[in-house]
Amino acid sequence: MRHLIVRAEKLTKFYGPQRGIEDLTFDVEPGEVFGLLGPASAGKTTTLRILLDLVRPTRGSVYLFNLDNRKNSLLVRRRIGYAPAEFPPVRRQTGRQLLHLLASFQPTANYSAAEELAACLNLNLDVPVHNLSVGGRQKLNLVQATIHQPELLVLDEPSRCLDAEARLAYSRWIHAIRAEGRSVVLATSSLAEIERLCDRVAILWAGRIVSLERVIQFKSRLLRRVEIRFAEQIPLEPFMAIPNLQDLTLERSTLRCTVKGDPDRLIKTAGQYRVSDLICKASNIDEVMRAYYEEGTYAA
Amino acid sequence: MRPSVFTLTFNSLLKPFLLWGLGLSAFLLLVTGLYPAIAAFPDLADWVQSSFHSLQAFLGNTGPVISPDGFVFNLGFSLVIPLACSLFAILYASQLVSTQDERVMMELLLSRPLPRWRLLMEKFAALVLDILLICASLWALLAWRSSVQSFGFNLGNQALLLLSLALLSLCWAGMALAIGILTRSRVRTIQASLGLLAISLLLYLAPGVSGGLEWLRSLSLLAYYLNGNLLSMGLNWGHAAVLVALSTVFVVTGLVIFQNRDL
Repeated sequence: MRHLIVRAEKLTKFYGPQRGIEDLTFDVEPGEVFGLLGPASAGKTTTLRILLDLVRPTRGSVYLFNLDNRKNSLLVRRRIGYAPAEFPPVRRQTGRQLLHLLASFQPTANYSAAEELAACLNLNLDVPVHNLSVGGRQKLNLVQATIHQPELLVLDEPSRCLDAEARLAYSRWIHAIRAEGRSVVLATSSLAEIERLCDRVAILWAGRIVSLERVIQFKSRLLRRVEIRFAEQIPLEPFMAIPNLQDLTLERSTLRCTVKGDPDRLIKTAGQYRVSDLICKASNIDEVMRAYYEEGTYAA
Repeated sequence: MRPSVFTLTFNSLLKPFLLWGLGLSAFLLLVTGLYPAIAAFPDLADWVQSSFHSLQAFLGNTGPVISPDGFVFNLGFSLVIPLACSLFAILYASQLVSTQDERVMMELLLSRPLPRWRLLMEKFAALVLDILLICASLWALLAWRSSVQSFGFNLGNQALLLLSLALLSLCWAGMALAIGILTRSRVRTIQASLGLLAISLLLYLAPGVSGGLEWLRSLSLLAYYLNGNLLSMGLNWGHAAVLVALSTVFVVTGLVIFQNRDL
């Protein structure tokens, strides 16, 4: 039997008449960073909670480490580290005390790894949790998830509220986890996070997977709004010949366009002239979803 | 102390526990302090006795008021203290699983290999300990006042009275816990539990308004606590067993729902 870390089959959850997720099927391999991408209320958190047996599916099944996650709930949870989207405002306890509490349920707790990550994230574990900033709490959230060196990390909006330095440390940490052969499932609405960290991505919209692909394929669909200011007047024709440019305009010496996927030809063509400035803005999740909709991938 | 869900919950309940404990102790101190002054003036004692006579029509026979144990029981333990303890139990049992902060914390804890039943039981045990400590502090206060002012209370009966009070409070706590698990909302839990407390009180008092309705009392939880003057008569073990059985039913029902519901 092929060893999979996660195997979700036709996972469906209805909250009364309201659809949480429907017919989600995906798997995660050892050493893979798997992303769940979608806007708010797409069903990302519900999916993660079902993986952890915090929410029970209406239909479908989840196997973690080839074990049914409901029948072997405790066994499976020993091997998972989870950072929820919200971190509790614990009173009268320092980060270290909270870590000790959470570690007391894990037979394989390893403080040195947690302390190492805390140091990388520049987190002081001796500060009372309720005195930590939102970013500080998010750092503690990530640290607590790794205290027992889990085989699978399940992270819900992990980089939210992190400062630039902490984001960098967090990215390095995820890469190190992958290098160790451990797996990560992360839910996010950040395209940049998916591009930077994930191997594969499932794009969720209104509780359904609209696309499940390798990140390299996903990148080819991404839109970037580009504005290039030239030091001189330039002709528009060479740019019109580039097939993956949309909304192309030239106003005085400023070229504006939307690049879908690879920007290589645009950069090379622009490089023939003297460029005085370049602004590139990545598309947001709504624009990605619109692109999928226009392609006909998305069916509500 | 070793960190656990129990200690975490106990710590979070520490402030309300101290406030309620101090408040109830102060009230009991006032009641026990008033008795010698009232007993010293026969006219005043007669007036107090006749005032309580009409109240006893509602509460049932709770014994003579002008005796140390009668005064303390009628003024303190017949209504005010049991209602206050029930309120404490409802307010804090309702927050064990149904506030937003608790839900977030439970999500973190239950992502660990921690069984749901153990999480719930440790939380409930912390509240039970708080209730027992409040009752124990009231017992200690009664024992102290009894020795200082020679009230002649029976220490064993005092302990049984406080045990009965603890069982009543546990019953309300169990009920609020089960309702909280079912509704997932602290506000709705408090509303429903206070509604049931009010109904229970009305059912207990109704026979005093209209004769022939004595059977209504058996539908009220208070009936299984109030049974004559417990301070002088001791505990009705049958009633205590009913309170224990009901508490168990509420907690087990909550547990079954909690095991099977979404977090």
